[in-house]
Amino acid sequence: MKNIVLKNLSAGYSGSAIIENINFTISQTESVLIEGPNGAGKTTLLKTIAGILNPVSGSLNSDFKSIGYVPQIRNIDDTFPASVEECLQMSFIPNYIERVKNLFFHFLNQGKDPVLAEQKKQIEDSLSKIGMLHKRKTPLRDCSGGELQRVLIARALIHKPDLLILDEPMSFLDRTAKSSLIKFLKELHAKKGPALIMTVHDDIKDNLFNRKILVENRNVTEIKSRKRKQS
Amino acid sequence: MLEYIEFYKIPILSGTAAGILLSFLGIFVVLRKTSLFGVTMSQAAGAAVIISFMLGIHGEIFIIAATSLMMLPFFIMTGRKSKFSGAILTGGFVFFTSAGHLITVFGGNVSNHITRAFFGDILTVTQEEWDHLTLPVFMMFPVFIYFLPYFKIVVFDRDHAAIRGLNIRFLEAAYFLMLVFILSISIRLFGSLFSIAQLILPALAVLHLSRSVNFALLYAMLFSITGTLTGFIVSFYPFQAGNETLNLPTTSSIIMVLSFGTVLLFGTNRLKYYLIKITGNIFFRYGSHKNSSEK
Repeated sequence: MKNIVLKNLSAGYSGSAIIENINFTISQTESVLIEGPNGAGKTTLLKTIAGILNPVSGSLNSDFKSIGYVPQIRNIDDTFPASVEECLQMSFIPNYIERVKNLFFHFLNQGKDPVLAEQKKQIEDSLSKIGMLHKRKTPLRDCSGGELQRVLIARALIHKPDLLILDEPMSFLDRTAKSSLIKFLKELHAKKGPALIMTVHDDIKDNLFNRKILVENRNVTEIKSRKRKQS
Repeated sequence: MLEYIEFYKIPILSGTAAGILLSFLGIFVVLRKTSLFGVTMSQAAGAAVIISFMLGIHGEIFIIAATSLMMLPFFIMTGRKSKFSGAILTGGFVFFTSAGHLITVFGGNVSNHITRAFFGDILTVTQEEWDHLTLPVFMMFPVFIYFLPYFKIVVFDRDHAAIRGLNIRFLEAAYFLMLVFILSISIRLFGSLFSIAQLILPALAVLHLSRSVNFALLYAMLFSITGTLTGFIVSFYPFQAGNETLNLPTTSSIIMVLSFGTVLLFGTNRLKYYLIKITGNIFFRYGSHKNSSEK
């Protein structure tokens, strides 16, 4: 089973640790909720797990090949000139050699570019999952906070990740949107979906998460753990 | 008019090409919220141009290298998002401007050098300069198009770009070098005010009208071309002031046209926004305002 192991890990920026002595393992069947006050270092921990930041010290070993990361919505420029579809399109790194090959293929086969067609299918699948397919042409600036959050989740899901990391996805959502997101994550996780790690700064009354971790005063403590029911 | 255009075809072509490239890079300068960095860089390049005039060094490599060296610490600082970066860049702006002024005291014709570095003299671009600079300027277009999708990804969401395996530092360095390169050449030929105007104003004017970065680039290009050509035409028309027949200075005419265009496009949109806020969307149907107030 795939897992991620953090041993004596310190996480922070430019060599100075914000949280220290982190020791835990997360396997693919688990869903972990990370709680803690603002500024405690939850985002730093998530970015370190996602591989965006290098650990200050200690070790991090991950078997997860594909990681989906949903950033905090306030870090996204919603005035950026892009549609929902283009936002997801930006998840595909251009490969020019492949593109040139396909350009010839495109002309030879009357408008069929297999790479673009596959990307389009993946984008549509991902948008369907979160119920945003009908808004694929909508500019990001015309999306509400909840819609933008769903777009970011769709973008994270596009490459079928083994581990999905969500950084405070509840922040800009009303009560209905929050419960709808929880329901979606439950369904996703239940269908042999990715392992989940999510941060919040206030408690969630839901049994979606089988582990709860508290980040506070530079320390990380496990406050709840139960085995997940095998479905 | 046609004989003017025929006579000044090299300045017109070179000014338009530089304007297009600057407006392309300007889209990313504005999207990255680094306009002050771009402006400070133009002053650093201006100081480098003054030094090159004074020392009699005609190659662009000196200007590019000097500007890169001067701006590198500022670039690293902006990447780290220091809370003092705005203030430090403003300090850099006044420092480089004054340094350029002071350096001219040690040699050469002070007012000529200053005037050329700031206001440029677009009409005096020579055949020799055109021959020398055409290739590097036009080579920048395919380089920019190559990097465009990567720049989009990094500017929109740096963290996502890192997860997707992009080398952010390399891409940032490529962006920095392209900006230094085109700003240095543009300031050397057309002065820093023309370069700043072409860098910032087209992006400011068109970004809110664009639904995608590609459209923003297209609109910025059209805006820049229209502004540059209109500025040339305005400056070619003589007008009477008392007994004298005068022509407006070309660089300043181009900048004024670009400024008016920006006020028209950006200002109209802002006016529309406030009208919607005041009147409660009676006159306009524009979804973004409803949604942006929700956030």
